[in-house]
Amino acid sequence: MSEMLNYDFMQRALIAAFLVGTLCSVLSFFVVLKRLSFLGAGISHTALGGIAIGLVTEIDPVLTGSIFSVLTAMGVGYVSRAGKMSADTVIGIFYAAGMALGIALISAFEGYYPELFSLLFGNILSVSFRDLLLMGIVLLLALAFIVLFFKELLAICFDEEMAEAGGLPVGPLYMVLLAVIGLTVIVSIQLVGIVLVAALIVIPGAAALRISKNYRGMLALSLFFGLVGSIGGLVLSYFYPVPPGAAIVLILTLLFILTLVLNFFLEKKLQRRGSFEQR
Amino acid sequence: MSEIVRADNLFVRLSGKNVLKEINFSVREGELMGVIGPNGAGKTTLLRVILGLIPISQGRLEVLGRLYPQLKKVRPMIGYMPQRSSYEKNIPLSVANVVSTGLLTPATMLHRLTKGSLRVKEALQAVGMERFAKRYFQELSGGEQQRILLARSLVRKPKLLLLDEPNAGLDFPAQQKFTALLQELRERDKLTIILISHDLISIASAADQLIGINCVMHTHGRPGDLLNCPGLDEVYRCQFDLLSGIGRGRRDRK
Ligand SMILES: Nc1ncnc2c1ncn2[C@@H]1O[C@H](COP(=O)(O)OP(=O)(O)OP(=O)(O)O)[C@@H](O)[C@H]1O
Ligand SMILES: [Mg+2]
Repeated sequence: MSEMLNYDFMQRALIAAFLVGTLCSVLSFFVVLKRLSFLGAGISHTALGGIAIGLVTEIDPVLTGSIFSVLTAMGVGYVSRAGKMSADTVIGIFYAAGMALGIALISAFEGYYPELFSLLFGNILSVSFRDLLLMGIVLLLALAFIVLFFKELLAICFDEEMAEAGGLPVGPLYMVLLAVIGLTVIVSIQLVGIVLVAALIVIPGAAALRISKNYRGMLALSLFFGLVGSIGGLVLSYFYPVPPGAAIVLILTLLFILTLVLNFFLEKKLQRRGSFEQR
Repeated sequence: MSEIVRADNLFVRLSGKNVLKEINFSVREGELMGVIGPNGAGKTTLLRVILGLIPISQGRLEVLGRLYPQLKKVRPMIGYMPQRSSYEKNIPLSVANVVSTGLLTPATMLHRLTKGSLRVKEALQAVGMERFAKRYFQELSGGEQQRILLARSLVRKPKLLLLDEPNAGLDFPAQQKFTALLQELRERDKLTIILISHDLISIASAADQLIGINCVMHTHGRPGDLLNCPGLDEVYRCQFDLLSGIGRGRRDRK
């Protein structure tokens, strides 16, 4: 175990797993409560188009990918808030279009096939210092936004109409939340890849919501599950021949199933206690 | 300021369609105005216009002493309970948490809510739910949740309360209790209330004045007169034998 820490690339990978795990699980809280799971999957797939543009034009792919996914997120938010089209229709279209653009560009320049593979399935062992810095900055931005506007965001999750009637700037807060989710997806792609990144911003919160009815508990559990998944998956892939991305998502899925079972027994126990009291 | 809301020849267009036309009414302090009309008549739209969430295309609207384009400023003085079903039922919040979201305004952004817990306690007391403060909102029944949402709309001590079908989904005794509760709040706090309901019988007995809208305002008057008058048939575009009977019944008693 300690030998693992002797490798530079492994140290960086562990720090990356910690940063991304924290980032994704905190946002997961809002993604689950505001029902944005499909948006997460949509953003990550459209990002392929943006990243491919960066690769072939030799502008920084992280930059073009970020711009692309933030614009997608805010575009979807705008269209669905205007109420003319449902969000999942818009996401469904963006999703495929972004993927198609990415595949077309990358095929046109055959030399990029190896990049395509690591984009789709992640490449955490190649994390550079610069990548870590980027993850750290996005994490700080996201935490600052959430800490500053936590009660307002919670009120928006509960009911947008009531929040708006109280005079809260629901539109701007929602848009910034979407932009933060867009950035999170981009920096997380390195960890698990485009195909699996949605799991990282959905499962921790979904599992936490199964066994906690209190927002503090849900937030803490979501963080716990996210970190166990991301760091645990990485360690697992060090000892066994499983790619880190797949290992992380499998651990998260297992945790989710565990919470389902736990939830089932908790409810049963409550029911039994309930019927006992009635007697 | 005894006139709380006043609409003069109000028109509202949404996506190029006139949703409300020629609306005229005035609500005085402490009054309860009932709003009736069929589905799609524009009742919810009327409340959202009063909150300044939707622009008006013609006419004049005054709310709590402010004229139309400035309605945003009075939003913190208005309590609003939207039509049922818009809220997230699985929210991991306690009842007290849910009620305290009603305290949030632009002025409380970036600040901690001070004195929040006292306000929340009072609001829960007002709806008779103080024992539920620590329970989880998602574990309550629909009717209990309605009461909590009423407490939420009261927590800022509003001058004007806008209720959009608060009775929907409540059983008969719960509806009666809810109506009694509104009367009590009105008497105690001089609260002005605009209430939308499809339950014509109970709204007629609770309201001081009743307006019937179906895009255009067809009727306007005291509840007893209204349920008797021919305008009601036009509001709902059908004959109202049952209700005119009830309207007559009320008058016979007097
Ligand atoms: N954003 C919008 N854009 C276009 N039309 C709208 C919009 N919102 C509402 N409408 C239309 O305005 C009309 C009135 O809607 P509103 O929700 O006010 O009805 P309502 O009287 O509250 O009905 P219900 O009893 O079903 O609640 C409907 O025909 C509706 O289709
Ligand atoms: Mg309505």
